[in-house]
Amino acid sequence: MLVVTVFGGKGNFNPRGSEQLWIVGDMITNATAWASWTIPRNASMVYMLAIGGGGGGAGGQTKGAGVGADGGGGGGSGAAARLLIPACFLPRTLYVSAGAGGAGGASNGSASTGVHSFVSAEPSSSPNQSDVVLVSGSSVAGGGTAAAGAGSGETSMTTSNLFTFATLGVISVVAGQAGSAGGTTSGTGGSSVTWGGSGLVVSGGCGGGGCNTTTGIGDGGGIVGGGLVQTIAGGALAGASGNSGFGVNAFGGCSSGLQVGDFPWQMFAFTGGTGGAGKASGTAGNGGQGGLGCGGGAGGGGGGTSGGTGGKGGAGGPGLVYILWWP
Amino acid sequence: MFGVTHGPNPRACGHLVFPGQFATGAAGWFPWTIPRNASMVMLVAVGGGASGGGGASSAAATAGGGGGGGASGATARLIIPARFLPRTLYVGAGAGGAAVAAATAGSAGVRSFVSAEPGSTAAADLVLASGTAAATGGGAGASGSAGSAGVAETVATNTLTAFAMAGIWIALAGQAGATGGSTSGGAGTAVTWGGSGTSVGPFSGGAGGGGVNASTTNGAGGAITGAGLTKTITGGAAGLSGNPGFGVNAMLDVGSLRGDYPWQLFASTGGSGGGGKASGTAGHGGQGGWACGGTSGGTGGGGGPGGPGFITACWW
Repeated sequence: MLVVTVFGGKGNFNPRGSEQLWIVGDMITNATAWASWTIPRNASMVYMLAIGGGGGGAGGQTKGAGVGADGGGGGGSGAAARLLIPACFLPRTLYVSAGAGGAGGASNGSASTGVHSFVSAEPSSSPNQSDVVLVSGSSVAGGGTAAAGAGSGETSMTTSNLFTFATLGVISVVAGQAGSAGGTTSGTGGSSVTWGGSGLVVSGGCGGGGCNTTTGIGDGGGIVGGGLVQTIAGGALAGASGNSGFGVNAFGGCSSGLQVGDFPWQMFAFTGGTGGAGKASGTAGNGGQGGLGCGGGAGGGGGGTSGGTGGKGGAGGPGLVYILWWP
Repeated sequence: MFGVTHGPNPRACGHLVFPGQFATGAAGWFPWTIPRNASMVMLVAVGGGASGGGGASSAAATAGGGGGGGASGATARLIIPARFLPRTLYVGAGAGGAAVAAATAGSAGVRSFVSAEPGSTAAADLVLASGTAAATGGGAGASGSAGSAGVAETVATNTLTAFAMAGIWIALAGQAGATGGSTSGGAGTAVTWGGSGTSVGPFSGGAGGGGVNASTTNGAGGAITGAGLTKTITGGAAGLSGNPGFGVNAMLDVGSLRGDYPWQLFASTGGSGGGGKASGTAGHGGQGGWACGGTSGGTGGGGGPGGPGFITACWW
């Protein structure tokens, strides 16, 4: 279901009469779920932000008795594109599609990629260059692979191939962050991801822990917080699941945001999910879900003396489109 | 801090200027709580300029090089919905490099920051940073060589600032200073304001100080070559100090938004170089304007201080 919310605050602490539109994605492809938005006639300037959906975390490997298993790789995060433009330079009616996060991988399976977020002059499953006003990135965020491979971050958009309408505004783009690798068949832990280290408010997801040929297992990778964002641990006991990222399911609170009062002033920051721990002779931990635009955490690997089942990967967080306009 | 929110301002924009005052990044952070009527915020961070190097102090019948000019600060700008920022920000506007004595290398400028935590310049906390590496001071003149030019504050990258991701972000490098006059009694090298166009912005490095040869030839201090609305500032003649840069102690005066006049030019330059002097004390370098490099002293003269950086915040 596509979430479309318009927040206006003209009657409160908002002397500029600005309004905001949040669109959070959760659809699987761009072929559906376009929302139309007609620019209000009192709009002078429009600001847009598009963040692509994060890639899912992979499931950990499933191996038989006496075989080691890799943890899955974490999913990459979405990229971001921002545009500030006079309203008169845009088509009157725009179509907005906020990209979905990639589904997490099943046990022993790779994850799905994230989906771009678009603002376009036409609703289309594959918008033409001439229609695109803003797109989050160039190549979608990658999902992790079961053999410990990390998903790549969504690459940044280039002005040479899209953004036809954006040439009349000021645009800024930034690439997403890659997820981290899973633990190996030596029973090592999944790699961690550092939030903020790439100059982003979103992050990749963490790798799951591995399992060796006997009883050695690794923990899931964690999110290393910084500043106002807390550290989130990966699954730390045999077979323990990872945790959801910062900002998962919290975004709906924006309905009472800045323009209609002083509080709450919610933190605009999100993290990927953390990795599940590996498990010898049993089912490994699942990866955690990513926050908005973030990669999912990966499942741990299952193997060891009696064999095991890999944990499932966490879903990537959905992308979003934010639009603010003022008279 | 200067606040400008009254007067003929029908758009009801708020405007604050935080001039650089502190000598290191460890102190001088100023809290700023985003007003709750703000929809959009524009932040501009400009790093402090570096000071010029002192000219050589040479013995009798010995040549001496002029000091090198200090470099200017870099600039970073961010336009962002207020909603995407932490409610309270901490602003650290960088100082200009301190003036130095003869035969002493100039002091580096200090970068300017906007952060979610006072004193923190970690990427996870930063909203905006003026640049990556601070502007460096001009080299000292020596009996055998001229002072080298200060290196400009390098351009910021988006990996420095997590919170800038959600806004329109653009960054520029500063401008290098100029080399000092040679030991043949050469004049200090000039700096051209605006010559680097959009790659630098309206700030400049400082000019070089004049050198002297082993007898009586004195080089003049380098000039700031103006362009457009910014006038040329001549360097000091033999034994005379250079001039302060355009905009020193003036550019950011409150008032431009209170009415039609004064509408001050938002531009500043480095100081001009001090002139070399045989058999006596040479001229000192001039002070740099906002974010601009200080100028080097002529042979035997001290280097002028760099102009302080600043941060502006506008919201509507």
